[in-house]
Amino acid sequence: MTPQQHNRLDKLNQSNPFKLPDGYIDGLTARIMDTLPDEAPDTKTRTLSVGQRIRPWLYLAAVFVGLLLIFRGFIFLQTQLTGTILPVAQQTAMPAETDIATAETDDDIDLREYLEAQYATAAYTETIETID
Amino acid sequence: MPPYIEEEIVARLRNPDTRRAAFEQVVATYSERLYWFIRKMTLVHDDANDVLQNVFMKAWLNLDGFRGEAKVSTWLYRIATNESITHLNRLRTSAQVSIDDTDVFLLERLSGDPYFDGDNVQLRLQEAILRLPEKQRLVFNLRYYDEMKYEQMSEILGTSEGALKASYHHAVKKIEAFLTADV
Repeated sequence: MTPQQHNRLDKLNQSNPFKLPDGYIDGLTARIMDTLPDEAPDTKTRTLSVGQRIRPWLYLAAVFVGLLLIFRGFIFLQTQLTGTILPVAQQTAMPAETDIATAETDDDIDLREYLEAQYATAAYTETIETID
Repeated sequence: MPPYIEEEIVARLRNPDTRRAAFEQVVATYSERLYWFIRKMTLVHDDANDVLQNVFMKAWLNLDGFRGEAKVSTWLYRIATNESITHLNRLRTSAQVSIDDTDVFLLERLSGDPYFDGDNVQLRLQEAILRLPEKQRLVFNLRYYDEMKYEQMSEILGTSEGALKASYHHAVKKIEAFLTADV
């Protein structure tokens, strides 16, 4: 700051253009203290609202949901790229019996049970005939 | 009222039995100084009065959060800085004034304040100060009006002393250039 600048600004600071209502400063402390509650709240014993208690669990649940969605998205992308989620070795293997069972319709189940029953009867009859 | 001794005041503020009396001593010691700091930021007396009340209310309600690591005055000035800026932002938002037009908006409020008794030169100085960026305006006011040491200013504003000195130097240059323009 040059001496001229200092002098100019310094002179402007010698007079205060900001005025106050009469007696404002005199009663200021009392007026401020009158507005304050009697006791400062004790933050150590502050009770939490239901929302504040639940919030951390909600955040945790949101994290799990987010991870689950990311995992499913990853699986979906893999399906799109390979056409199946099974490894190559498993793609050439015979389907498990459970896969066949779950693929049956009700009619197929009834037919199968009928044929099994016929086979069982036939096998029993053969056994009887053999013994005899 | 007993003499103001920082360590003793902090100890009394921590004791629930002596807290209120100690806080009253803090108010008596710092209220006027804080008022003028807030007034230089908000410019209008009624606004400064409201903000000052808010500052001490916040300090009282958050007394448990004051650990005594900084001076009481530093802590209060920090609250006053935040409350002043919040108040100005609220004013600007409610009046739907953009950030670029804030200086014009506040200058109009100052011109209409019955408790501003400045001549054209003083008004021009306030206009020059209002043209500064908000943080630079804070720095200028604290140094120019409050003659605050850069060390304490650094604690209040969270900026290095070197940066504050540079900011004040640039602020003075800008204000001088504005005041001497068209002369």
